[in-house]
Amino acid sequence: MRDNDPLKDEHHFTKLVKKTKIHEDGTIDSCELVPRKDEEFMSVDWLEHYGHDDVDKNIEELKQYYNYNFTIRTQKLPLLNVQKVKSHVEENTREKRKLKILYKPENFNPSHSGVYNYKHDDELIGDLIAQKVEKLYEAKINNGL
Amino acid sequence: MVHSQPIYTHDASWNEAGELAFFADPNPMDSWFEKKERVPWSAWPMYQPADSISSDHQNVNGEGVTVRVYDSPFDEVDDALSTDEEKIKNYLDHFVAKHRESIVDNIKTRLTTLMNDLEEEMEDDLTQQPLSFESFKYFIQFLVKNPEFKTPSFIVNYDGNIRALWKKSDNKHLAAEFATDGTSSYVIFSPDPDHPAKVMRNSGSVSNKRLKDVVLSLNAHKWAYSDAG
Repeated sequence: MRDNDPLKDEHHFTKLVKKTKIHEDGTIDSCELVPRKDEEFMSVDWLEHYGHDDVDKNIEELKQYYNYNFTIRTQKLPLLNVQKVKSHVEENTREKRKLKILYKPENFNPSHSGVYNYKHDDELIGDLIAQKVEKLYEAKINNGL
Repeated sequence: MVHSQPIYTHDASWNEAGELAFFADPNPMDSWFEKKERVPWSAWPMYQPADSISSDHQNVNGEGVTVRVYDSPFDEVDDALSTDEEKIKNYLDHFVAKHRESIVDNIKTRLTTLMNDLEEEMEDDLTQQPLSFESFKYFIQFLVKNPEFKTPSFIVNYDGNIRALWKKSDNKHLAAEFATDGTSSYVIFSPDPDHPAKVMRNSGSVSNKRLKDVVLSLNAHKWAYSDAG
């Protein structure tokens, strides 16, 4: 994969989600699933970058990266499928919005990618993406201590 | 630079609109009362050209005594340290407890968890703002003025605003962000009453007063109201 290549439909992505952005029933608030103010896209991580067929193993590798580089406490990692998110948003928005999910590697984060074609105040799209969360992982590595 | 509104030295209370209201002593001594005028510290005589300083300390007029109270420069520091968190707790204990007591415990429990988590997150993320008292106040006012609504789940967004969620299922979903200017941006998913398999989806921004009208227009009150409502 090269910079700006679209992620394959069958692939998955995730992003670090803060605990204060998750409702009591586990619903991720749309404010965490839209681009931040003044940003062109929502930053996410492409899981298949880590090369395993098992998505859980890819998540484990990403957790290593996050725990090594950031302070990880109670954040979560939602599992999202590329095709399911794109088609759900397209089918359920009046203007048939087509999201683009592109690979945007960074030196310090080679799995970095971006969800494009919506803005900070497109909360309806954020809520639609939240409906497609397949699983919510703890971001902190459980080291058995 | 004297504030035009005097601050009366007597009692204060949350009024029906959820604003802090000052009122005079119900048993004023004789026919006069004492009132205070706040003078910001930047207007202290020591910071002003000598010829611009008017008479100070006491102004006697026909109705009573006006005492000028000179703010300390430390007041501003104190104000900054007197966080919205304290105002929020005070608001819950006085205004909410008085007007919709049944929701206080739920709100307090969730708020305590959120504030603790938020404190941790703010250490790691400088873009995260603390919970805004104004946003919280508008959120609570909405619940007090519209008691037919269930108590929603709520979170704090990056701007420090409350985002409330009334959700029964993916297709029965009302989310509203209470901004600091008395408006809310909302997202509603609600089944079409004529075609229940179809879902009406709508989003926008309205004054908090009109939010209920939007909810009614999309039939969302059917599941966003409490059973008793």
